[in-house]
Amino acid sequence: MIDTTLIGAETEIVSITITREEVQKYCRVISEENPIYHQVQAARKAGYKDIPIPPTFPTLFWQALKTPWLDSDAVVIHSEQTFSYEVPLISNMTYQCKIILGNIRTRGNKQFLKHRLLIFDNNIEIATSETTLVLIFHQE
Amino acid sequence: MESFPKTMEIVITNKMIRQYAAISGDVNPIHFSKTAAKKAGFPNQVAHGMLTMALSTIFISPLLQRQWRVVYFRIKFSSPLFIDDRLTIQATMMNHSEEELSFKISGNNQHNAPIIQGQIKLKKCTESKPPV
Repeated sequence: MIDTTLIGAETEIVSITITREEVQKYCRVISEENPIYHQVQAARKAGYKDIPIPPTFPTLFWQALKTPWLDSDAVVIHSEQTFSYEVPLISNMTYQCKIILGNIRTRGNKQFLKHRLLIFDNNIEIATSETTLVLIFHQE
Repeated sequence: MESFPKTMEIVITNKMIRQYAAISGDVNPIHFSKTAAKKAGFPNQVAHGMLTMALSTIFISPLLQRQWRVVYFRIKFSSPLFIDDRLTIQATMMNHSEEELSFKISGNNQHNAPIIQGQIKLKKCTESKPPV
């Protein structure tokens, strides 16, 4: 089980830049053919500075952030996900990101961990991704 | 404005799960191995929840070409989706104004069991409030 004193733990702040190619690769996997993700001109015509990052993409940012509290033998299930945006995220822009472990709730052999991934552009918070994971521990 | 509700049916293949694992870095064996999935208490290989959520953005995608921007998107994953399951996702418009749109998103498997439920909100960007 994860110690509840870890509530409030944060990752380091990491700079993340997503390339157009990474967006396009993601879009191919989810069969997203909207030209705003594949052609810069289409993106600019629709009002974006460059190719936008799809709204569900930021959970991939977790790969660049270390969350040591999740290193356990538990089975991990994603139970809830929320994205909130002030502005869309754009490829080739560099964002500063960190994850905060916001809450831990324990019920039997399960723990519900609420995380907030904060995304900043020049110190202004522009997007948040909230991820609730359920950790199921083997009962002894 | 397209007509809603809209419905989409998709079968979750091994290829989709493998491709999503590759881009997301989520290489938990429950996604690849039936044995590992069973050991963890599931009947078959589990699809990534985020794959399902990402697929459900297809409904609102055309709006992103026309001044609309996603400001909020929430999904609750009610039950896992497994390899070869057929997912039916539906988007229903809840509110529609000049500046804001909201949709209810729901997805069921082939047994009509709820898989995902949630809400997506979009706002219109204007010249006084540029998008980016």
